Amino acid sequence: MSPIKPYCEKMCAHLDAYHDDDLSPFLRSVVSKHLQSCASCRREYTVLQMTIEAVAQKRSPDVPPRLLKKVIRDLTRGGHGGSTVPRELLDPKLLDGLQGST
Amino acid sequence: MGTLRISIPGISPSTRTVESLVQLYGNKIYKLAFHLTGSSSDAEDVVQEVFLKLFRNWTSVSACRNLSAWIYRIVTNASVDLLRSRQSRARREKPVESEMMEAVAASTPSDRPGSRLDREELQEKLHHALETLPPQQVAALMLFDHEGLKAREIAEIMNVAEATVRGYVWEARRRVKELLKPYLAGKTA
Repeated sequence: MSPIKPYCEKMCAHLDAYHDDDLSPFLRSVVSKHLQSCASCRREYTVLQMTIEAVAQKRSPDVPPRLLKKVIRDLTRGGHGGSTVPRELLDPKLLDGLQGST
Repeated sequence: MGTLRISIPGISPSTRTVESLVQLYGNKIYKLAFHLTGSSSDAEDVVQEVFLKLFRNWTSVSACRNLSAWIYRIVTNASVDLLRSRQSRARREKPVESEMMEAVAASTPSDRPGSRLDREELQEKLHHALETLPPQQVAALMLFDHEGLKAREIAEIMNVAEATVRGYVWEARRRVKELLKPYLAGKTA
């Protein structure tokens, strides 16, 4: 495997910011042009994209129903009076930003 | 999972209140905690801690206009604390998902389509890669790349500067990428 060129090393240092659209327009166009012409850096960027995609698609199990029952049991032990739930807390829109489908 | 004694002095939420909130948010909190801790049993502890804090801080939570941010903060803090304590333990608990992945890996390739096997392998490798990261990097990475939060939002949740969040995310990606590279590089050809 050939050693990475100094210019490629500089470009690769910007790949995260390039992916996140966090570069100045000038630097973005410099990185973009370099990626078009350099197969090695393009491969590096592809691996970065695949890594981010893998994190984005990370799966999780559903909550065990017994846990929810336990929490409810523990929290309601010793009485059934008290305050009622504020309506706004039951609005699912409040949790729009909270992912939970994967 | 350790036993968590729940005691809420000075407040007694109604059964319906508790049931509604637990049913509505329980799964989302559990999934987020699982992503941050990588452990089913730790995620269960986090779920209990979050609901305990929710009802302990009932007055302020009731007036809360951004419950999502509140939940992210509590789940993240609890998960980072658990990761720190877990990393300091000599013996680590074996996560349920890891066991599942081992079972998948042990099966013969002919048992399942190639694409699914690839995904399972990648998930397993990602799981192990995340275990090697410092807790704050895991939290920043998962909140940014999995949950899709902005660096500014994560900075508020983690109580650090926005630049620090980017540093955590980029360093975490770099380390995960290096660990996944031998696996991913063959798929870019």
